[in-house]
Amino acid sequence: MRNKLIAQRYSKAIILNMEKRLLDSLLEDTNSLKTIFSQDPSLIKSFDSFLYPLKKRIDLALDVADKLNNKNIWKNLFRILIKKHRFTIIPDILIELEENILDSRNQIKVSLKIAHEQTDKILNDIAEVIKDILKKDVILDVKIDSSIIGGFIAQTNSILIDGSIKNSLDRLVKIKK
Amino acid sequence: MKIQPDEISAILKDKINDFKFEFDIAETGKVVQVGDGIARIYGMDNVMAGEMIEFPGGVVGMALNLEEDNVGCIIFGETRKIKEGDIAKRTKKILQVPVGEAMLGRVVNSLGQPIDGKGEIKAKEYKPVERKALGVIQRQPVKEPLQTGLKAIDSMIPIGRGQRELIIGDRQTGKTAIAIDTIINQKDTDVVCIYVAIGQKKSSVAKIVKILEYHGVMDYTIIVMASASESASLQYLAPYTGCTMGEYFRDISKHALIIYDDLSKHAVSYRELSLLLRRPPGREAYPGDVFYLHSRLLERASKLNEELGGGSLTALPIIETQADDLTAYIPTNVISITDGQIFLNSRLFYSGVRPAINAGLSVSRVGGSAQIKAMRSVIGQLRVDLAQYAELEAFSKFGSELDKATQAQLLRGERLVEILKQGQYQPLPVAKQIFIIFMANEGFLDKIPVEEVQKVEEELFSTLDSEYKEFMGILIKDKITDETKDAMRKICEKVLTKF
Ligand SMILES: Nc1ncnc2c1ncn2[C@@H]1O[C@H](COP(=O)(O)OP(=O)(O)OP(=O)(O)O)[C@@H](O)[C@H]1O
Ligand SMILES: [Mg+2]
Repeated sequence: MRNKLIAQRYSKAIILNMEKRLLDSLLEDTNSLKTIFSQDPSLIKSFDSFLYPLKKRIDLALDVADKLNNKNIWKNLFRILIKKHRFTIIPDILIELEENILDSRNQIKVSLKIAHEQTDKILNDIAEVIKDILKKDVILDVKIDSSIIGGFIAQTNSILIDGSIKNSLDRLVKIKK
Repeated sequence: MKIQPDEISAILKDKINDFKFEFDIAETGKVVQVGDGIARIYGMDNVMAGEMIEFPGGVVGMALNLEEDNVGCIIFGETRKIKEGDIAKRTKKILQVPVGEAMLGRVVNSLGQPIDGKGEIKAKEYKPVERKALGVIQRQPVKEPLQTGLKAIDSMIPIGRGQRELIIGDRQTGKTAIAIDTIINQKDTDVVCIYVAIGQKKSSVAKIVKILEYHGVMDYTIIVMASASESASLQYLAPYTGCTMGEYFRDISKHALIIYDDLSKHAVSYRELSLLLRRPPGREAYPGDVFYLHSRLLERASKLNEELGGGSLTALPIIETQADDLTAYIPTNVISITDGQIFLNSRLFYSGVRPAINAGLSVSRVGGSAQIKAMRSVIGQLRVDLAQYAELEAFSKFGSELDKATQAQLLRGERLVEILKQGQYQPLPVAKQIFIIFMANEGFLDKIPVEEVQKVEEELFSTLDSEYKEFMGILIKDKITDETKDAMRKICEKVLTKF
């Protein structure tokens, strides 16, 4: 949880010091880093490991940064994190960055639960409904969960929109009682 | 009757057409840590302090600590049902409890749910447990008496409706007894009683319920119980729940009496929660806002002004001291918030003076104006006399020669102490209290041996009951005139002829 707070600060600092037009490329970087680290989580640990000399670790990180769009930003970030022995919070920083960039474009990531496979048209309709509520463009991450019976449940970091049949039924039972 | 398929499908179609698709939109957070009746939640940026939080499985909690990156939340119910990673929902409501007439005669927990096995409570209304105390404008000074039925209190430390009078003393000094007698004395009055038991043994509370039932007073009493086996969060909540139920009666122009037994244990449960929430500990490891904990509770006791109906909520908080130490943290705090205190002393208690009220240290700062006039015209210097007697008594133990006046004072003092003794569960009507105090103050008992005083009292009461019913009714109506006093003297003499 502390990490979350620290990650928020790093992410804010990075975004505040960026030109707006570069944000798209930064998001691209963020996503590629996410894939790299999720493919090999041990990589993160090794950047913080005292088994390797500091210089080696930094050089390696700089090599990674060289492959990205916004080289300098990442280089600086990696250097600081490794020196402070805090590289393990990088996943949190990436999450925050993604959220913040999307937010600056008035977009939001929503995880959507539906009971069955649906056509794109219906998913679009649902996205519209959620957009109306959140006043933001939504990026859906769809999951199938038959236990909700029908309808949908949309969850962002801080908002839950429950339009499932299961919820309606639960409510009916509550009123009956 | 045959059912037509067409009809059914028509009904169904109607229903389907009417069906409105509704969503629940809730702000959520993630449980990041849970245990010891506490949960920490990440997210929920807009949560209010004191807001009710819903966890999966129907468990509720209350947001207490709003920190930069998380919300500290106390849980009312089974902590085990909550896991890390669970989604917690905001309700945008302060925790509410049921209130109303339906609560009377019931034993409930801190959430207002029945625990007496008498079935569901059909409450029509719910009210938030935390409410801001009323302002100055909505109040008026205390003016009607709240009779406890205890001679020592109604005469020397009178309590008014809307007052907050602290009952304070070591353990086993009769604190609860005073509260229970006061409840019993509200029989056939318009006062509703609420007894909040915090951190007590379940068996003790069960005993109290039995006694109240036996005396036929449970019908106008609500018992809120958070026993010692309940979590600290429920114990913390109990007094606020009781207070909300009491305020309901006050706000509909009725009168209510609430007893918090006791606030020392309440403070301890709050300390536990605060330490678990990692708030910095202060004096005696209590958190810094332990004063506010009790001040905001006791400030809710009040007498409403006439426009608001003139209802009242009287509070009798109880505090347990260690070795008569009134200067400990919690006692000093609560003494400073209340309108006076009834100080019980274990030395008195064990020497047989029961209720063991220390007249010198007990005061009522506002009740005097609420005392009935008749009582005021007979008590004279009762409190001072008793306090002086207590000093002289200590002095006389040195065995030195005493002058006549001092001896007379001692003699009178002994008898005053004697008549102020009172057994449990025997609250006295004011008229009788006035009479016996008058009798002692006028010196009628001076020639009676101390051991006989109680017999004289009994004789007096039975004479009054059998021969002077009407006279007693008039006695309490107004100030006692000289003629009435003469009549009273005659009765005293008559009673004394038998001794
Ligand atoms: N006026 C009285 N006359 C005779 N006995 C009394 C009187 N008042 C209290 N007692 C007895 O003294 C004992 C202690 O009384 P009580 O439980 O009211 O004290 P307490 O201060 O509330 O104790 P605790 O600290 O355990 O809560 C009880 O057994 C009670 O019956
Ligand atoms: Mg007690």
